[in-house]
Amino acid sequence: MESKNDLLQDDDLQREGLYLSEKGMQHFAELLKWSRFLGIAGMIITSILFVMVLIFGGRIESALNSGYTTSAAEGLLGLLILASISIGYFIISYFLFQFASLGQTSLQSLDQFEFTRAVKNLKKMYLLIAITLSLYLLYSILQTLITQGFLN
Amino acid sequence: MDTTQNLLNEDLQVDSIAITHLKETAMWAKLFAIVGLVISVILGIVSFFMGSIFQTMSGGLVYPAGSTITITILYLIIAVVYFFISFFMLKFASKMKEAIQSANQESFNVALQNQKMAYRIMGIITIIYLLFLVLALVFGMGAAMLGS
Repeated sequence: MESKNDLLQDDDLQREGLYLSEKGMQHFAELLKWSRFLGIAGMIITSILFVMVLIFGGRIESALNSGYTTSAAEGLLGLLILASISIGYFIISYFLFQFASLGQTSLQSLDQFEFTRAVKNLKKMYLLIAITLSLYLLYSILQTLITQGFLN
Repeated sequence: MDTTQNLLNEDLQVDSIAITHLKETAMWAKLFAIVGLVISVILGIVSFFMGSIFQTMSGGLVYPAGSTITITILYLIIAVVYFFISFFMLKFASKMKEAIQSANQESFNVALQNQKMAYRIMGIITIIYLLFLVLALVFGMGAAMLGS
């Protein structure tokens, strides 16, 4: 009688030897639950933020100009950054939601293909976070250099 | 044949394509976690000066007694929470890398557990944030109604 290990060695896909065991499935199921919640909450919050930027854009811009920024261009830039953040965060939340939905399907039907698609969405999400984080750090460094007068 | 089917059906196998995705996910998660750890430590240090920074930024406006301490505590809480999220994320990344490299099932489970922990904290924080938003909305509407 073939043992499970023999079967794992036979199959090319299972050669790596990793699988979602009962314990792993419990962790994965809870991970999916929180991911789904975070995805939905993120999409709702960013949609509200984007709508607010569209509706009250002028007021936000004038508030930015009168309070924290020194020129109209800076106020407009602040508004554009706010809109970009909401779009970026929406896409991140969407990938997270997709990960949760596909992961749930894979757990229910023990479907490898759906699991792979779910993990692909998780990877996309982290990639986007890394890009956003890098852009933010770059912006912060540039802003510090400009305010300190190094680029004048 | 039945035995073969049962053995294959009781667990969800991770195929080579998923492993490639997980490997890349772990790589990006590690970057995210390290940046998070650095930022949380800086935030933790800065939190002790946040009160005076706020007072300087507000142009000498006098804050009520105890507000400096409140701001410091608030920033410290944010720093601690962010630190733990980044810590669990780093554990997820390192364990996932270990699991993929040595096909270690236990590490794979621990990686998933750590990612679950990170997401659980983020979820709880989101719930608290949403509760504050609802409370602010209710109190704001109440204040507006009383004002009119």
